[in-house]
Amino acid sequence: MILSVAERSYLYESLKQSPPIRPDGRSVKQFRPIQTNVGFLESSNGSAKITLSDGSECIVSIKSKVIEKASIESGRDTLVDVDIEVAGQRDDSSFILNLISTLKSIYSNYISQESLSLTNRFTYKLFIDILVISNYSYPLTLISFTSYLALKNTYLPKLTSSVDDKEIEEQPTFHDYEFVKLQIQVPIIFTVAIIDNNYIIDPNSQEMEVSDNGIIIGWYDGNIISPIENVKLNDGNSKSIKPELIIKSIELVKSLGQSVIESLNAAE
Amino acid sequence: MDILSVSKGSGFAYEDAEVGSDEDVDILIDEDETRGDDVQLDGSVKTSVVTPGELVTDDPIWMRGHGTYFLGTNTYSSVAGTISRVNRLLSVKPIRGRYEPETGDHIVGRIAEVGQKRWKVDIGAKTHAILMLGSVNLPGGVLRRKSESDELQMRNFLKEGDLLNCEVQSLFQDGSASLHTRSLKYGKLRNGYFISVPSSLIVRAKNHSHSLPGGASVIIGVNGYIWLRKTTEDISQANNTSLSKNATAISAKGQYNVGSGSVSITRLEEESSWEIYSDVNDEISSTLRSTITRYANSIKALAFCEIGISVERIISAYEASMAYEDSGKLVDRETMETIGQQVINGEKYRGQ
Repeated sequence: MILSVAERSYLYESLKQSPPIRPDGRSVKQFRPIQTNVGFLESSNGSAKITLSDGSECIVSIKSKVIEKASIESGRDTLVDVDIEVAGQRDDSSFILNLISTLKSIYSNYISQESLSLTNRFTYKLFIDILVISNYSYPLTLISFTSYLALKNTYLPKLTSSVDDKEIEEQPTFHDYEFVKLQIQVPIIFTVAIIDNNYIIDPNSQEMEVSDNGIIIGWYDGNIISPIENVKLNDGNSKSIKPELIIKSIELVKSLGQSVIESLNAAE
Repeated sequence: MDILSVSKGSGFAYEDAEVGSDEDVDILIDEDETRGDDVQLDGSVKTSVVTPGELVTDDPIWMRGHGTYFLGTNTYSSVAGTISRVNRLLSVKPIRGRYEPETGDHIVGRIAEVGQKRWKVDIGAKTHAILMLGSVNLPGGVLRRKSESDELQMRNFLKEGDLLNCEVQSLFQDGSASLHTRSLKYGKLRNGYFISVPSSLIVRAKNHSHSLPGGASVIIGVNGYIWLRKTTEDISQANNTSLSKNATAISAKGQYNVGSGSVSITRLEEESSWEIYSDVNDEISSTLRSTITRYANSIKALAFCEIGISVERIISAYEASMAYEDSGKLVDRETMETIGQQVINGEKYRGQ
């Protein structure tokens, strides 16, 4: 996004005020409104779509596969696989690879093995396919919200064979049409932009463009989790972050995390 | 205070499809459609709104213009829009689509490229518009000759990303526009905030630069680019002169002052200093910044409700938005719909 010098300084000065005046009038802790669709892809186990007011759109599909637990223990396979495609970005660009590695690590750390476990020898593996159709701001929050909705609305085939297959070699068999809802806690990630001494949640493209720096903060089950790291929200004009602003941003996320989870749960 | 407002999507099926169970309705619609086709086959032209692929006329006498295609002697619409007829030329004007420049349009543009003696300007049209070095006021007055040094320091006047308001001077063969800023009311923009709406929503008016209540001004570019800014003295003067030249020339005392209604050459020279290309904003109070934000959200609400945008409607949407103390509320869909409804109702009551 390209801004003129006067425009940039107007936005920066507005956001520098106390309290900051955001270009769309939102408060420091207000998100852009989202529109959700859930469970519309027939061929996947779970799906969700979120549309933002600025036209950003993200679709997530969850698919599953039965794998042997031994392959995870030996490191040949992982419990969760994440694939991201963002319109206008190359698959092998560092931007995409960063997003994938962030999400992969957060999901494999916080999605519990027990929730996906089938029998003593077999477990489900989840494939999270993310498609960002259009985005104007840093897409990680949008992606994590959409994945949250999709994972919370994932239905896996019901196991009919015995859970204990240690003694007898037996392939797991499933019910013909009954599904079981996946019961898991899903982590989400927030984006905070830093402007002078102010910090704002969910920056839009203009706010990102003039921001000094950005922080992403993870949230899981009522607590702050890693990653807590800075992200590049624009090309150029990046400044260092004062340590107290990191603490304040974390406090901000703490104060609103639970209510975001509640709003997302209500959308199911 | 809402932190994250979530609304459920309407689903992916068309709403009509859900009513499919009601067979009576379907049959009625079908009859209507066939009857409609019969009327067109008489050789007359269908009026009002058409959708892509819809038969406009079967009369071969019409010349096919933009937005149409033909199979045999039948002319079909290739876009969704309204039919326009100029003599024997039949074309369909798309409802949505890129801005199509016309000579005389007052527009807002953003510099995309600096080239040889010209700037390329993004105006939201199919192609970039061209602003020649010769079509701008340079510091030092109108009567100054342009020299090579001007050519070399073009970036000092306007650089990539800069916003300017200008007028479409002429159109080239391919439909791209040539712009000019040869008036004091045109030029580089500062002291404000930029928003963009679909160009089809802009209501063409005599004047596109207005002062708004609350110390803000607006330039409603015909191309859908809108600039909201602080009202400074020269803006309010310019607005006054363009609004009622004669009224101000005859001042309150009944005297006629020569040149006070129009811009004299000397004033043009005085004001064509480097200041017109300044990038530095004036001091803007936080109240005014909030006002501008509220105006911006009101305009976005109008655009969301697909209501044509004119200065009267901006003001009435702004007044309707005052019901919400916090202008952050205005980003919600329901709030925007309420405001759009209030603007429409207000106009109905006033009989407009």
